[in-house]
Order: sequence, then C-alpha cells, then structure tokens
Amino acid sequence: MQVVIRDEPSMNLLGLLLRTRLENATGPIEGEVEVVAGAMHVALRFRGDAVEVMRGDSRTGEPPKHRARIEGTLSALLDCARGRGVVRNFVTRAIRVGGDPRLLFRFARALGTL
Amino acid sequence: MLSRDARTGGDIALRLVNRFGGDRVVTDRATRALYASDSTENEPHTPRAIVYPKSVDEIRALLEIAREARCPVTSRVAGLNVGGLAIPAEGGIVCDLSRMNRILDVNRSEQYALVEPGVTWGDLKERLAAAGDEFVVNYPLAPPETSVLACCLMDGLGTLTMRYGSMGEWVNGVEAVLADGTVVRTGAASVSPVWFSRGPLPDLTGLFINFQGTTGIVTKLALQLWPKRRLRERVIVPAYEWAGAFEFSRRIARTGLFDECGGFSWPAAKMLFGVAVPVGRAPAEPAIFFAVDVSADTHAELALKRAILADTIRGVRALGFHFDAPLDVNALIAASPGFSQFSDLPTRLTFLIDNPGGGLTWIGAYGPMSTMEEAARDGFCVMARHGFPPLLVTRPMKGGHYAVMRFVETFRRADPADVARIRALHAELVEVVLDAGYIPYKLPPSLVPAVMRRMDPGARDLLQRVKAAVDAQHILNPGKLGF
Repeated sequence: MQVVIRDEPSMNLLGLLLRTRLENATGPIEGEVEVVAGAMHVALRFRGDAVEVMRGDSRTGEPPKHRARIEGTLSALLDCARGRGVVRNFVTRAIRVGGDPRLLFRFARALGTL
Repeated sequence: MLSRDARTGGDIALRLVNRFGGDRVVTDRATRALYASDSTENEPHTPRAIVYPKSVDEIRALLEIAREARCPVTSRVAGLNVGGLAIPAEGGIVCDLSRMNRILDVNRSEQYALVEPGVTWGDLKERLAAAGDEFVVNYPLAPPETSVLACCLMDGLGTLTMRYGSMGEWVNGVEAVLADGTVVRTGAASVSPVWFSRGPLPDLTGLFINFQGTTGIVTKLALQLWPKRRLRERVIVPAYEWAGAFEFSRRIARTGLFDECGGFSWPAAKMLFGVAVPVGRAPAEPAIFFAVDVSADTHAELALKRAILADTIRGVRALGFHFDAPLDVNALIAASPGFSQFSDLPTRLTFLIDNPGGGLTWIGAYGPMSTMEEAARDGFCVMARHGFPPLLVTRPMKGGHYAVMRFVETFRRADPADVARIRALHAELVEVVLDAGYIPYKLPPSLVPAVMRRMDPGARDLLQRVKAAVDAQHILNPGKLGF
C-alpha cells in the first residue's frame, strides 16, 4: 500500500510506527480509521491502495471524521499488529474498537492481524 | 612545533618508504584527504603521509623517524570517535594501526581478551562466538568496524556500562610504545605472564586511558570478559516526563539486577523511523525510551527480574509519572525493522552515521546522577536556541555511581554556516554540562580549554609534567589535551 505521511517531521511516533505495517498492507480499503495509543492519536485515510497518515490532533489541520476507531496501549497495539494476543487483548480490553465493523475487519485483515 | 622538514614533507616520506616499503606508506593527495577529517566540526588537517605498521618494532622505527624530524604522529584505526581525536596535525604522520589486528588470546580462566589495536568489535564478537560463546563484552553503540582498543582508551560506554562502568575500567593492562621508543607493559602483566588485573601495583595503565593518544601508541590491551548468561531479552520502556525518566534511571541502576538501561530521547526514535530532522515533540508523545536489558541463567531468574522491572515502573508511576508498559523489542522490530539497529550490538546507527548532511557530533559527559535533570534541562535550552532538537543518549553508569549525558547533533558538514552553528552550540553546551558537574569524555580539542580552566591547578600541572616525562618533544597527537 502506498503510504503518505502528512507533515512527516512533526508526525508522532505512533504514525511512524504504523508506516511499515501499512506499507506491507494489502488494499483496497476505503474509509477513515482513528488509532489511539495512550494519548497519541493518528488518523488514517484509506483510498484504495493508498493511505494518508495524519496526526489526530489539530496541528496538521483538521483530521477527517473517522468511521472506525481502535484504541489501546502501545504494547497491545504492537502485539495485534503482529497478529499476536488478539483475543487476549480484546478480552482484557487492552484493545477497544468502535465504529464500522466491516471497515475494522478490512483494516485488520489488510494488516495481517486476522 | 613542526620542523621545516615536516611542513614541507622533505625527505620524511622517502625515509618512511625506505623503511616500510611503498605499499605501506601512502602519500597521494586523495588518501591524505580521507585522513584529514572525520564526521565532526573539528578543523581538518592534512597529514604528510599515512603509515601502516605491522609490529611493535615498526612502530618504534616510525617514531624514531618522527622524532628526528620532530614530526607529529597520530594513531588511528577507524577514525569514528566523534571527537576529532584522530585528526592529525597538519603535515604530520598518521599511524594507521588497522593491520595490527590479531586477537592474541581469549583467556577463559582469567576472563580476558588480549587484542591488538586493529581488532574491531565485529572481530571480537565473531571470535567469542567461535570460542564457545561463553563470554560477553561491553559492545558500544558503534559500528562493528570500530576498534576495541581505541574505544577502551577513550573510556567509551556500551551495553554493560550500567553494570560494570565505562570502558576504561574494563582494561587490565596495556603494552605501549612511548615517544622515545621505550616499550612498556602495565597492569598485572608488568610482572606476571597473565594479564589478570589492573593492580595491585601503581596504576600505570591510567597513563594511556583518556590521554587521547598523547602519551604513547598502545599496541596491546587486555580487556575483561564477563560470562554470558543463558537468557537475554531487551525491552523498551517509554517514559513521558523527563523527571520521571531520570528517577526511573536512578532506581533501575540501584537494583543491581539489569545489564543496561540506555535512554534515547524522542528525536532519536523519530530519526530511526526516517525523519531526517524532527521538528517537535507531538502532544502526549513519550519523551524518552529506555532500552532495558535483562539477562538470566534460568527462566525463574528472568521472571523475577521482569517482576522487579514492573515493580520499579509502578514505583515511579506512583510518584505521578506516566510510563507505558515495557515493549518487547521484537514487536517493535516487527512493526518497524529499523528498530533492529537497537537490538544487536555492535551496530551501525544509519540514521546518525549516514545522515543526509554527513555531519555527526556530540558532547558526551560523565557526571553525577543527582544533576541529570539540571544538565538535560539546561542542555536542551541551549540546543533549542541554536535550532537543534533535544537528541540525548543517557544511562546510569556502574550501578548508578554516575551517569552519562550525551547531547547529539547531526549537521551539514559541507555548509560552513552549519559548522559555525555547531561550534557556537558546543561552546555554550560545554559550560552547561560543566556547571552541572559533568565532564566531557572523548574531549574534542576545541573544548579542552573550557575543561582545563576548571581543573584543579595541581592536577593540570601534573598532567603537563606527565606529558613532558613520556613525550618531551610533543610529537604524539599534539593539541589533543592542550599539549
């Protein structure tokens, strides 16, 4: 997937961490997903085989309204991104999701989590 | 002072060629230019010739020629010390020791390796693995092609520094050639055939550590080895406040249970992920990441240490500081393969060494644990004023007896304005670290006066007298310690 990071020098570490996983992800996906780790927010705007990564705060302009949301500790998100401990992290609520389930499913599948 | 002969070349090159042969004396302009500078802002100086000795006798012969011509000699292996210490004097001779690269002994009983100057961290790691993989050494955050001996003599640091101290403390003894050609052996090896310790005689080894190549050319060094534990894991602990980070650092060191607790501030993490010049810390982003190494012989021991790490984190959280749970470094590598540069040392930190501007420099200083906050706060202020992000590497040393604070900058080496900016920054930064009780190591020549001004006059005078005693003509790496 083609990844564009908006205002890369000021991108937070969560966005930078997600970059490689997104580059290896397979599309197409359409929609907006918000990822939250602790207090770090990233907004992902998927358009087919491309994704734009934005900081989820106001510094880089108004983030898009998201249709799905994933929130968790950095540790749990990293585990899930590797496809490890997915069930455990959901059961213990180390990872919480909300919004469009079909978009969440496609996002998880694209990242190889499922 | 250089002789006319040294300044103009005269017959020195001819004499060197006659002694060493044409294949081990290089005088062409392109090669000399390669040896004239390093990655730092320090002034380049072009040597007259580069000589590649292969033995102690050849080093003695080289020094004899240099003495007669009063020509300066600078030793060097990889030239990656980030202090300008291997930059020769203008018109001097570079003594490139990379061809003296034998590992003479791996002593399993007394646990040391005896190495020549050209032995690299990569060589040593390979040899230890081949010899049964039962020992570890203090691998630095440096490329594998850098010299073990040089790193020890410059008192650098590495992955076991928190437990056992800086590299100078790992040295059991050396063999060195003085400027007059005398060969000396220090430490236990001055009496015993076994290089088993630094003592119990007067510590002459210290005459060659942190003297920055000004007292002799070291030709052998005995480096302590430590048993390799059966299990090892590295976790990354993100901390969100500086004060909390330093408190964590102090507490983890005092447990005496962990091998390493190296802290890297947020710009380092961003650069690792490909951001050439990070411009600011995003809201709610960790301030610093600690790489904590845990080793053990049994799974029960490992589990206990993990529990103590978790307990230490809980303790600093209870003070109101925000810490994430430890991240498995393998998970980070899976998410971003660039992180592997932090997992297996020695390592080439490409985001620093191969940065687009080509310039890499720092002020690294050892100092009290009690003033880490002050040093960081004031150092970051100065860095910000000069337009640099707060790129810091820090760790407790030797069980928390002291700490290192290394303020790192990348810059455009080809841009005189950027070089001037670095020099102005360092002129201020050195005073900041000294004010906090810290003392720079791998001291760049330009910062020597600032340190010497604060040095006890008696100590300063003694240094001068020691130098005069071992190198009366001042031909060994002149200018690197103010003499």
